[in-house]
Amino acid sequence: MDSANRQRIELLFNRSQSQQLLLDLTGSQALAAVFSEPASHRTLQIKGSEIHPGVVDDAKLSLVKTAGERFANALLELGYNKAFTLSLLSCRPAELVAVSFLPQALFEQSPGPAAGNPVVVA
Amino acid sequence: MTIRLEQIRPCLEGLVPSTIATCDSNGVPNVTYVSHVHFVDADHVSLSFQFFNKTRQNILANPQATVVVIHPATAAQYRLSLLYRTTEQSGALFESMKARLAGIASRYGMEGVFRLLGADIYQVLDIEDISIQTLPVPIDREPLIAVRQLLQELTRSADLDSLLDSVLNGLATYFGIQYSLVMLADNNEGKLFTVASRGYTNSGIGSEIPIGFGIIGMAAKVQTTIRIAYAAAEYHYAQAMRQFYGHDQGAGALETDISYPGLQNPGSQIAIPLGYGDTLLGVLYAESETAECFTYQDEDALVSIALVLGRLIATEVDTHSSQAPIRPMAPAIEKQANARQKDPISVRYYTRDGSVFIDQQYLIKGVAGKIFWRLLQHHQEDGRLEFSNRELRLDKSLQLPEVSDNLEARLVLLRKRLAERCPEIAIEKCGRGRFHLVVARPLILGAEEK
Repeated sequence: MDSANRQRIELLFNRSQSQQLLLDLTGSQALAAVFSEPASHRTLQIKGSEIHPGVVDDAKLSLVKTAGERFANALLELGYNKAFTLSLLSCRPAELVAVSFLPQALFEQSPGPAAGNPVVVA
Repeated sequence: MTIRLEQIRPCLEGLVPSTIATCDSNGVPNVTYVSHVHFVDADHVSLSFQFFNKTRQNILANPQATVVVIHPATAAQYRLSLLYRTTEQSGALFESMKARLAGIASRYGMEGVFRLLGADIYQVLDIEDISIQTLPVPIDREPLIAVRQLLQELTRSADLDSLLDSVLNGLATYFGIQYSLVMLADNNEGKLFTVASRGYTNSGIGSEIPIGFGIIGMAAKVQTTIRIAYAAAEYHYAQAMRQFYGHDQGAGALETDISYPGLQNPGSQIAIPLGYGDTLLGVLYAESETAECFTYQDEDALVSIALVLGRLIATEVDTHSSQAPIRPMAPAIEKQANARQKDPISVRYYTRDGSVFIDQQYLIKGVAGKIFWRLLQHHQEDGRLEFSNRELRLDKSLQLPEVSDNLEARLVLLRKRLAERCPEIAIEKCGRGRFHLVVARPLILGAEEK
């Protein structure tokens, strides 16, 4: 979450993994991202627009590291060893790119027949 | 270097969830997790269609999709560019995916939530390696050498009995598969019967299951291999039989006096149909107490073995030829001579279902029961001890079907049931298509209508 106004979400990508994605974002200004909590299967999809590039600073690199560790610990309980998850999430700091977007719609994505339903935020 | 789909098959085992991105006709993207991307062939994958969700709507409007799959050991990631082609809602691929999904659902505690509505088939247009850092590739077993060794033994087998023993022993020796069995098909009655098993406390020889139920019955029905990597209750024997008895029963009366030998709660299962041309001959089945026991490599190996086994069962073993040398009768006659001094065995036969009881204990019923009774009648009438498959085929009282009568399999079944339940009466092969009846105690025969 963009800390300045708490309106936008920022995503960090490895450039080498996301060249087509970055081109598409520039062209379409539309984005969909899925977030899941593995232990509970609770999953949400956020769709957004107004894509802006961001900067990657030391504070964000530190966040990437912390988030990776937490995710690896969470998956440990589900049988995925830590080396596996950390390899999956590995990045080269020099090639990280930041992109932020303005959320427009939220969708339920937890497995089940309700998956895909819009979530109305009060 | 172009990556071929076969090279990334470990990613297509449903061990790590994948993600799929699609767009609607206005270009609005959608991204979601998908529990299983299934290998179909060198150019196609299929994805489980479980709910009519946004992904489903999108691919119908715009067939392009992007999927990221993950290698379960190395964490390598591959991006697949896909083109949606069609959806299958029944048949081999559908049933194979449905069973696989049931296992995955059980792994994630999602039984009753994951339900396959269709197998969405996509053409793979491109595969891109997008890994940043990967773990070393684990040293794998080499199944091809095991296939080679097992087939060498298989092709040396002289008859159905030794062929079946040879394949199940080979699975244990060369693949470390502890529990396995072979069921052969009674296509006229819509059921399968156990003719060989290995590793179980109770051999279950003679036990039956209906075609179309459980993993073995379904593999037989759609004639495709079904492999499940986790404990999937709906494919366990007990559940399959509940479904069968709750269903409009198409199969003939099932053998219920002999228990199915398999594990009650297997962690991994694989069922491979045995066939010859389009004819279903039976099913080769293996299971393990542990999950993730059978890989796609095991599947390839076992399917290759099953192809050979099917052909051997159909063409080599069950012939009418009697050219092989006949062993001397001496041992059988000797036993027969000694038999007269011992206590008699009571054999009762019930014509209604062909069931046979020896000293009030159930032995067998159906075709094998009828054959046994016929042999004992001949023996009683004229003291005969030697018989041929050919004369049984010509014997109108047995009413064997003209095509695929499974006679050799029925004799194996009968021989094994006798060995387990009444070793004083035995069937011993004495040449191709010929056998001896060995009777070590006097018999008192009685038949009843009911």
